[in-house]
Amino acid sequence: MQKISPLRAGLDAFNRFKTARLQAKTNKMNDVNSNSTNPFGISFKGTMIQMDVFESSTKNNEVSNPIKAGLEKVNKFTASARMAAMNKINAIKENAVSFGRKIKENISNTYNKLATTEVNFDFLKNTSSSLQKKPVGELEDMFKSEIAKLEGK
Amino acid sequence: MVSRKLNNIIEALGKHTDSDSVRVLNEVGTNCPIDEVRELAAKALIRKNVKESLEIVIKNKGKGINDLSASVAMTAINELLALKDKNCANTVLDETINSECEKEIIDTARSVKALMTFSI
Repeated sequence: MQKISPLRAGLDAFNRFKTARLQAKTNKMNDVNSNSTNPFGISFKGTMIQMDVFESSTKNNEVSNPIKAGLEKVNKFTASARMAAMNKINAIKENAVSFGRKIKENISNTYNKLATTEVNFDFLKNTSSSLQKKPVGELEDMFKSEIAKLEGK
Repeated sequence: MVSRKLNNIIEALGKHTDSDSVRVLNEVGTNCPIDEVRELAAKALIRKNVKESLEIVIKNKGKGINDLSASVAMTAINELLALKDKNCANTVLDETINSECEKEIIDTARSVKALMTFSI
């Protein structure tokens, strides 16, 4: 009968546990990626990309059907176009939102400015054509007072 | 810097049909210590293009073309040269040259008259 030391028994148990754990992990990964053709597990915004958009290394060795190859190309092209369109739409959406926010701010600023501004139409009263209709005596007084204002400055 | 209102008052006096406006421009405008006001008043008097207003800017010492400020004098001369009808201005200049005014005034009038002749 073989004599087993407690140290060896412990090491064996650890090795068994390690093998079982590795096997369980591999099985789990195979289950997750069973439907995926994406060999690198690349994700987009948290979602795994299912479509294999990469060139197959074994492609050249296979005798491929031209229709199938064409379809594959169209699929890849559609997938990349979809991604580009999504990015573009997102960018447009962000731009539209920031533009709307800017407009809103401008409108509120203008409203505040208008609310605090007193509109004065005095400049319309003192045009040369309207002053021309006044008597010379009145114009003389206005002339003198304006000069006095200038001299006072 | 002359205000817009003052500018409009001087312009209105220049275009006014009342002959008393010439007196106001002469008494208040051309005697003002501010160069810019004298310049505008001289311009308004010349644009009136009547004998009384032109005599003020041509025959008087320290006013219009005889102003001590070069810019006022040059503006007045420029305005005289820009007149469409120069007959009245020429008459006043001739009268000034043949009058017994101060030599400086006669010399200035003669120079302006020469410029007027060349500018036609």
